[in-house]
Amino acid sequence: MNVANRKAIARLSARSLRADKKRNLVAICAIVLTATLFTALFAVGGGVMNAMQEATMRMVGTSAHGGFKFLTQQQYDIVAADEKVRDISYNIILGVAENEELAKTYTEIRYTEEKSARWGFSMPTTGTLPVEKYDLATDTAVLDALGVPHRLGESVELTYTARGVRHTQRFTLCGFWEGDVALGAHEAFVSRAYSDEAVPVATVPPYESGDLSFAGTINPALWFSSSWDIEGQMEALKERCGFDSRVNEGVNWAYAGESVDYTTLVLVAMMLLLILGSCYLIIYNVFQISVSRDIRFYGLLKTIGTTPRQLRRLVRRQAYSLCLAGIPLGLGLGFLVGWVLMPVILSSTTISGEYRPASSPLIFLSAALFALLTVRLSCIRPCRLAGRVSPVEAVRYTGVDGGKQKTAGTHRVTPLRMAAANLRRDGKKAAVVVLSLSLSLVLLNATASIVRGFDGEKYLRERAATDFFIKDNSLVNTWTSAFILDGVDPDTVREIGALPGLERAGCVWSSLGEHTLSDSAYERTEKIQDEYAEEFQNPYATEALRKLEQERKISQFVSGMDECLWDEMEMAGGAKLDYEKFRSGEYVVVTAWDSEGKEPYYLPGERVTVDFGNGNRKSYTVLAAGDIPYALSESFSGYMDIRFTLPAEEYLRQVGERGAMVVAFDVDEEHTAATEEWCEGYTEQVKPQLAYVSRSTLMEAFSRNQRMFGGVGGALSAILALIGILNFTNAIITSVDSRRRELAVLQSIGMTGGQMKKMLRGEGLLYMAATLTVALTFGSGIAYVLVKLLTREMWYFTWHFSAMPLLYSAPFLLLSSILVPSLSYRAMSRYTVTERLRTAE
Amino acid sequence: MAILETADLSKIYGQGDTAVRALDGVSIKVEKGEFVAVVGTSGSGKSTLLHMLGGLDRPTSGSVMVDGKDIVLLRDEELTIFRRRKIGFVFQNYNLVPVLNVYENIVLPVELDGVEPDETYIRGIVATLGLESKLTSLPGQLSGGQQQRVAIARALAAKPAILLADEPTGNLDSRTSQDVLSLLKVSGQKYQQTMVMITHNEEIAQMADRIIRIEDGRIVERR
Repeated sequence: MNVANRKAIARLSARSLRADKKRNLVAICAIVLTATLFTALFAVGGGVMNAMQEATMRMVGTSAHGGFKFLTQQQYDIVAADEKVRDISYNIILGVAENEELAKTYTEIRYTEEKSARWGFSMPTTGTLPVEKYDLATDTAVLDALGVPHRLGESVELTYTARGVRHTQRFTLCGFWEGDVALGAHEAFVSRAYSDEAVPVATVPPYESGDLSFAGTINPALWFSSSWDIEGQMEALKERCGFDSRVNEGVNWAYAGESVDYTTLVLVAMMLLLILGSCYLIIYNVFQISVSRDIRFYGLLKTIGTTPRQLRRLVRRQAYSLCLAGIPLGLGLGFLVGWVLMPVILSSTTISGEYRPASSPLIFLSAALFALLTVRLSCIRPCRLAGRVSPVEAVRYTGVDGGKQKTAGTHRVTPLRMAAANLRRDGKKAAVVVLSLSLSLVLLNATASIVRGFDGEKYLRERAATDFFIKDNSLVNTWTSAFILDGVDPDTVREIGALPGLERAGCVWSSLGEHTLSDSAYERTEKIQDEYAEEFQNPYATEALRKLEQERKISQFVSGMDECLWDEMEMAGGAKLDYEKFRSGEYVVVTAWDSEGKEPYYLPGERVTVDFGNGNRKSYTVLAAGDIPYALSESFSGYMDIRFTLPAEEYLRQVGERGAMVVAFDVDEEHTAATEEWCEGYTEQVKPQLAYVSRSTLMEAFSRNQRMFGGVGGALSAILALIGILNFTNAIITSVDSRRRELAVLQSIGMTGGQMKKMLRGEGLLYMAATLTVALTFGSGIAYVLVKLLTREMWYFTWHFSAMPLLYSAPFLLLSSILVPSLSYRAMSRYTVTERLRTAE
Repeated sequence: MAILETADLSKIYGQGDTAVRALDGVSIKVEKGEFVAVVGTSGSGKSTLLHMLGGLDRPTSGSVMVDGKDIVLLRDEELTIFRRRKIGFVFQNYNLVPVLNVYENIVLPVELDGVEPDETYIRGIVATLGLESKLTSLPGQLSGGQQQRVAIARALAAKPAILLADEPTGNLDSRTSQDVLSLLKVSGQKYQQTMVMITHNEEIAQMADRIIRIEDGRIVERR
């Protein structure tokens, strides 16, 4: 195409644009809404992903791509010199604090470079990293544990052992930052001068020296130029450096992007399609209507010598010009919507903290591109209509496809009958409007179904075995790394035992280990692997399977349970636990591979040997298949693991004294509120490493989740409804506009204004009636599929169907079906009949 | 040599019982530089013939040769390009683009072809048609006669070999009609164009070199 010809089309399109302000307004609104929806989706989606990634990074302990552990200076220099390492920084480990006050707050003493501290989320927010020789920087959790006030210049004494030498040193606090009590490990940073003097950098790697305190070793964190396949890049780096398998490397799996779960994926895909679909419907209709109305104009241009391609370009150019106005506005608006929705959505996740929607240029670029794509797709058919116009036909075109309509016999002519006939003239347009309106109703219905389907009873039954339970923080806040299974100390249990109104209180103990399967059990696992092969298609699972195949070992939980909680045991097939036999201590309850107990490892009556990991082993008779309830469990599991549950006495006899994993208790109704308060105070002030869960905290999390679906679904339905109404309004206004002359003829032969209004309202009413019908019939089916897809993984979901949301929306539909035609009639009647008759078509 | 030639041209609208034969085996020949008038009553098929000649519509059977090329065989895109280079149209209802001013309307076919308008040539046409003072007006601001003169200027702008006119004076009063017709004839001669004009007015037809009479889709008389 050459320039001059482009100029002609550009001018034509610019002038046509200027000539049709009403259409432009509708089209720009549609485009703004499109861009708003895409931007909001991407900004919030990106924001949630960032938040999740950062949460994972905090759990991993660094934002760097990867790193090595326990290197010598010489080894570090080799890594640092590697060309593919974009950035590198390190810290040196001196030892672990052995102060008595820090027994529950695992604190590592290190020297760190500034970058390494920053990447590790451990930069002082008050003060600085150590400068003077005896400076110390650490987090507030460590200071709290030591009882040191949060003030620079305070004196802090730390004791640790390095290379067999016990060091005790008094430091001056030079900086601190907010420390998360829930974090697995805490840091205390010293100066390089002190580090070099007390623990010089290791010259022999620990795997040769055998020093398992790793004192003086260097831990580099590094970045590659891209986060693509970090695992592979790390492997290659290790090989280039000539490190053998005894050197520890680590990759940051926050970059693996595996955190996207099924529900999220379906949700995002569904929203993308929904937005694309609904925006297509309106933009398509706006341009289709405008092109068919101006079809004579396009025919004329073709007669003069505008080629079909040029005509298509003419239409597209107008659309793109409108995009120029609409998309930037939509991007801004969408970001605002994202800003509002972000906290609502995050509140339903376990991620805490202030997060904003993603605002990278990429987000806006992709939102703009998606909006443009929608416009481009929407224009395909209108462009084709303009390009295909036959110059001769164009002259006669009236927007009637003609021919197919049957004459309706000799019914009386009523306004409603005429309205129906008018809609049939351009059935496709009417269908698009109806579809557009139905979409929002379908979504509204689906949202309502989901929100109503959230079954709080079901949720509480599963998640709350007792009114209250207290566990270690790491088991409640699943974003932490180290799971502490013996975090509940006897003190806490004693305090709970003295609570007023207590009805029962009991503990569950648990320890991790490995179980060697018997021959028959091993055969059963092979069968399970064959039958459920797809469940094991996962890198984490393959590791478990390797162990199983090579050593016949799977991970095991051994649990002991107080008798007052035995009633909560979930026995396979709803069987009753035989208390007498269980109490004897000779029997064990064993889990099956699946939660229903259909795939057992061991059958009742078989003998099984349990290894307690401390040298104790004992053989038991399998009593039944069963598990402790989720609420009282560790809340994590592997791909193939087994649990042996024993009475508390037998467990403690074998394992020895040990902190409980969870203490669960009920109080009478009268004391519920007071107990709630006590729990909150106790876990915040007295034992911050513990967390409590109660029916009300569970219910709160549950309704947050419910609100999130309601909020997002409701907002989306509202915007789609806006699109639908806009589409409807455009259809009515343009149809009244283009029939101006025809309506004038009707009036001139005796149709009164009232009759005409009745006819136009009839058209509106028919649209709405059709919409409700479609939404109730096909719509319900689609809503059903939508909800099924979304809730497949929500076990606490109970299906409720109701047409009530549709009926609630009916008054609004009715209102707009009357209002819009009335308003367009009024706009038209500003001109007299003769004026309208005279206007050339 | 004939610049315009049809062979056994037929056009049937509709199907079965409702089929209408708008053209029924029409064969005509127009020589280069000739001025031909096609006359007939309303519904005789004369407009259909003109549409076929200009490639605006496709015949049911038969061929249309323009400058030795069978335009029936061309694809839509090619046909449009061929049309804007070879054929100029003048319609009864002017058919100007309402959003473009007079000058822009005149040069539109040239620009659509991606060619810089030949300014001296365009100025010449504009002068011949007396439109110098109206170049920046919009079509809506002009009288019927002025609009038709713009349409003629537009038809001539691309220097087409053939000018097809469909009742060019149908909407004009008799005095303006005379003006427009003589302008058409003068410019046709000046730029050596072949001209086919449709009319139902015998008087106007007399100005042509030759008259073809058409009735019920058939040619009934040639002179």
